[in-house]
Parts: sequence; structure tokens; C-alpha cells
Amino acid sequence: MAEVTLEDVTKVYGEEVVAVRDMNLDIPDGEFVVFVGPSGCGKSTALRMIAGLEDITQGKVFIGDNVVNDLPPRERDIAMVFQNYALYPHMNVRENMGFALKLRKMNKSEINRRVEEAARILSIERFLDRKPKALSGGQRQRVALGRAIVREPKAFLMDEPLSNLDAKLRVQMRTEISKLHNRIGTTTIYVTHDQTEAMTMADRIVVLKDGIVQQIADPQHMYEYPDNIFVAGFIGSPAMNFIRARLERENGGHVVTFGRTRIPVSNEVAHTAKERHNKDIGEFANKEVILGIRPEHIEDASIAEGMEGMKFSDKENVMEVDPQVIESMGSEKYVYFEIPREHAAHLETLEEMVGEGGGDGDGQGASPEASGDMMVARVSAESHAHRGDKMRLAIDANKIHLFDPETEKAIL
Amino acid sequence: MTSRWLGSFLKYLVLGLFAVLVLYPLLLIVSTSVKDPLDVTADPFSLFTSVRFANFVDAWTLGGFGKYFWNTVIITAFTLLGVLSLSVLAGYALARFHFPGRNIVFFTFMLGLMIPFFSVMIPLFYELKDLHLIGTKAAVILPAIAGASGFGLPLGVFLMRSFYLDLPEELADAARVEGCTEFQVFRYVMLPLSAPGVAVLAVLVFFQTWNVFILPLLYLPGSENQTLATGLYLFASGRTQETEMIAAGSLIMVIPVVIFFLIFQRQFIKGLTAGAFK
Repeated sequence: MAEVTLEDVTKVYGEEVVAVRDMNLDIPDGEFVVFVGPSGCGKSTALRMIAGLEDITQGKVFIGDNVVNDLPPRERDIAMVFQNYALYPHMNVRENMGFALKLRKMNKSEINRRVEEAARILSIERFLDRKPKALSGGQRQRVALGRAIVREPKAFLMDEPLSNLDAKLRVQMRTEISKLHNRIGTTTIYVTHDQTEAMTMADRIVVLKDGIVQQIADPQHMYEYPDNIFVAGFIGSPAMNFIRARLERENGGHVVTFGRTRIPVSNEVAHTAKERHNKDIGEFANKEVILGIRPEHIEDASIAEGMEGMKFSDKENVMEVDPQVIESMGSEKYVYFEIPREHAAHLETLEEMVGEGGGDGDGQGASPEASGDMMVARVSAESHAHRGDKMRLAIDANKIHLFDPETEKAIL
Repeated sequence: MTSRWLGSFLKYLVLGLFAVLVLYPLLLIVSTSVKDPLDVTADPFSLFTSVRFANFVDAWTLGGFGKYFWNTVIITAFTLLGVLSLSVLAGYALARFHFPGRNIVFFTFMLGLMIPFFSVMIPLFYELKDLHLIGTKAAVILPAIAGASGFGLPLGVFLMRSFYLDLPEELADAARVEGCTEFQVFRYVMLPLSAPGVAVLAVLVFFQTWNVFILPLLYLPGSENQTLATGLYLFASGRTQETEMIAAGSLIMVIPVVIFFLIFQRQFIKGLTAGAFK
């Protein structure tokens, strides 16, 4: 086991295609880190550079105390799990799992002991003499994991290992990989485009976009305090709603307004935000800002009355909407509604994410994600929301986010 | 109902005719090879009435087919070895490694498929003569490996390169991470997976080389070095009376081909259909 460190790592293909730019990351021994981002964001390239399958254009990669830039993959003592499993079709499961040990000229009895131990952990003892083609997708992925753990490597690298599995199996394997990590505690770097996997498995998440690290934080922190619009929109399911609003100064404090909705920002909240983001929201007074509200922080006003944190009145923290689609999930309802065009935040950053992340990981199916002028609220199952019947929605004012429309960075 | 019956009748009639066309000469050869010489002279086209294996012994010893057989085995074995080993290595390199001039090398091989042997056979004779190879088995083996008889390196490189292009790169990556050197990636992962392709190539090259006629005829003068193909030809033109020995000699030539095909049949079919089904 070892720590993995990336120092200003850059990958350029050809002359000018930058896949990863100045990536800095310190992964302590035993940590489970997830690289997440849309297709082409550089997450797999970063992983492959750590594995040694891709040259590093600039910067340094350390595994333990050693710079491994010039070491071939075989000398880095890492194990990798691939999306398509990459099991050797001509070898049976036992041979697949023992292959690396055989290359290291380990004696047969020790190879067998390790393979059988790993097979027991992954409940694949019954399949040891089968060829990969006689296994289901889930079983193949277990073999691929087994092949990684028999090595007892310094670090595990996993490149979208669950993408080829069906939704139910994916959730199951997700838990198993987490359990496995808790048990053996090897440093793990896991790449996925699915934010749900990132949120559920990671000790820390690294969000990437266009080869640039957007934020590195633990899942809860990232959910509560996204650094910018991209992270805010990527993490969380359904995705955060974005609205073009104005920040007004009022009675010594600030109020966010759009349409007839007014959301006061307490001085206390503004103060903590200033410390966190190093930016005073006062700078944005009487200017346009991007307001971000998570669907789970909007509630049917008739139910929100008296709920903790929900302070609203006829004038504040409330909006009147005309529901277009209502999806009942049993435990809750998703209410989709339109906002006036002038408040719709058509953000380029978010366009890229359509069909990515956004939490389709649980196989909940494609919902009309909040995008453009469509917004979504996640209200209690008891809500009487009905398509076509105007309703009032209350906003949890303490949970709103504000972003600078220019830089897209968080200011609240 | 009647038209359907008529349809299948016609179908089987046509198929039957072709089957007879192919099988009759073969049957005649098998039959003749075990017939008594007197019976052959009396009625050449009748089926055998008694079995006489002595024809094979005579062909092997008196007819010289034993010598021709071993000559053919040696030439075929070396050609196979050469074509297979060089094709897998070159095919793999051309499919997997990016190096300057890669396409030029590949198209040069392909050029070999396009140049007819007859246009180079005379210059090649002088070339082999200058190398003092005329009359030695190398005079057939080397041109055969180079593809002078049709299926040599050009076809082999083309075939194996396509095979290696189809194998997923992730397998090679997995092997590299697991501790393989580049050669071990080839040896332990890619080569075993290309076995169906190697089998197709082996069968094609074997058929071709075993039966090759013009190369030994031109470059292996003298009876000492004849192969089965040229030996049979010389024998048939020299001793026209001994039809039963010609038939036995023909069978000596055909049987190894059948055995070779039966051994590689499964892999051969697998190789031909590779990529057709996922």
C-alpha cells in the first residue's frame, strides 16, 4: 500500500489537444478517491498516466516516495480493473487470477492459496475452472477484481468498472467494492462518469472538466459547497436548478429576486460565504447572479408550513408555479415546472452534461432533467401537486447557492 | 406440393451431378491404387475386385515416392515454419506498434500479392543461381516463404495483422499492468488469442506448399530433390503403363493433406468465421 501523488501533471496529445492540465492531487495511503466528470474530461487519461499506460507530458507522478514517470506499468506495482473486464479469454478463472503471480515466478502453492483466498472473498470459488465466456457480466467483473486483489498491489486503479453492468447489479457491485476496500484498505483510484457512484463510494471526489480539476472534496462537502456551477450541476440527483436572478441590497442586507420571488440572504450566511469563497457578495449588489437551488430544497408550500428550516411567507421564499409533469417515486414526488424565459439560465457549462452524470446511475431512467427553462422540485409524497393546477413552492433559503455569472464561481 | 417436390428434386439433381463430378475421379484413383496391375490393363474403369496394398509399397520404394514424400515434408515444414513465425511477428508489429514507415512496410508486403510469379520466375532463377541455391531445397523454401507460390508472407502478414487489429487493446494493457514485458504481452496473451488466424494461415500455406509444382520444377532439377507434385509428374510421363502405381503415388500425396485438414478443421472454421459473430 502506498500514497499516490500527482504534481502538475499534464497530458497533451499531438501538438495542442490538452487532455489533462496541471493536475495536483495527494492521495494518502488507503484512501478511496473517485475521478468523476463527463466523457472526455480527462479522468481516464489521468488514471492511465498513473498506471503507466499513457506517457506523462509534464509534471510528476509519485507512487509511495518514487517518481514513476519513466517506469513501465509492470514496475509500478499497481493493479487495474477495466470497463470491459479485460479477462484473458483463453485462460480459465484460476489462470486469469494467478497470471500476474505466475509472471513473478511465485511458487504454485502460494499462487493457489492467494487465488482461492480472493475467490472466497468475492464468492467465485465455484467458477475457478471456467473460462470467462461462461460467466455473466457480474461474475466477470468479480474475477477482474479478484485478479487485482491477489497481487496485493500498492494501489488499485479502476476505470469505469461497473459501466457494463445492468442497473441493479451495478448498485450491488458498488456496495461490494466499498466493502472490499474497507476490508483490504488499499489505496484506490476509481474513475466513473456516474455521480451516484462517486457520492456513494468515495472518501474524496475529484471533479474534472475539460482536463481541469474543478474541485476536490469529500462527497458531503462537495454537495453542500460546490465551488462552481459545473460541480453544482454535476453532483446531486436530480441536478440543481439554475435561475438568472438579481441580487439587491435591502435594509443593510441582501435579497435575491427573480419574477415575484424574493429570497433574503441573512448577514450571517453572507459572512460565512465570504470566508469560504473569499468573495463578498456585496460586490454583486444590484447585479445579475446565477441562483442555484437543489430540487430537495424546494417543498410544496402547503406541507412546508412549520417544517424546520423552511421559513416562508406570502412575500418571501416562495414561488407560484404551474406544474408540467409530476413524477411519483412513491417516497416522494418530482414536480417539473417552467420558469419565465428571461430567468432561464442556459449555461454552456451545463449543456455538456446532458446525458451525463446527473444521477442516472441508479437506473431511475431518463427524467426531463432540470435544464434550460425547466426546473424540478422534489416534494413530499403527500403533496397534492397536480398537472395544470397552480401551486406554491417554498424554498429553503439557507440552502441556496449563488454564482458569479462571469466566472461561474460560487459566491454563496 | 408437386412444385415443391420438383424444386427439391432439381436441387438434389444438380448437387448430385457436381458430387459425382468431384467424387468419381477420386473413387477411381482409390480403386485403381489397390487393383491388381492385370485388372487395370484389362478394364481400367472397373472398380477393384481384390485389394493389393503392394502397389503402395512399390510406389514408395520402386517409384521413389518415399524420397519425394520426405523432400515434400521438409520443404513444407520449413516453409510453414517460416511463413507462420514471420507473419505473426510482422502482423503483430504492424497492427500494434506505431513507427515511422509502418504503412509503407505494410503496402510493400501487399505488393507481393499483386505481382504474378510468372513475371519474376526467370530473374528469380538467376538470383537463386548466383546465390548457389539452385538444386537445393532452399531454392523452393525461400521463394515459397516470400509468397512466390501464392500464400506466403504477403497473405500471412495481411491476415495476421487483421487478426491483431481486432483484438482489444485493453487485454494488452491489462497484461502490461500485470507485469508483462511487450514480448510477454505478445507471447502469453496476443499469440494464443490469434490461434484461429494462425490455423487458417497454416492450412492455406500447407495446401499450397504441399502441392506446389512450378517452383520445384524450375529450381530443383534432377530426380534427387523432386517433391511429390513434380515426382508424380515425372513418374507419370515416364512409366505410363503402371497406372496403379501412379494412383498409389497420388494417394500418398493426398492423404497427408486430408489428415492435416482434419487436425486443424475446428480452428480453421473458427478462424474463417472470426469476427462474423460477436
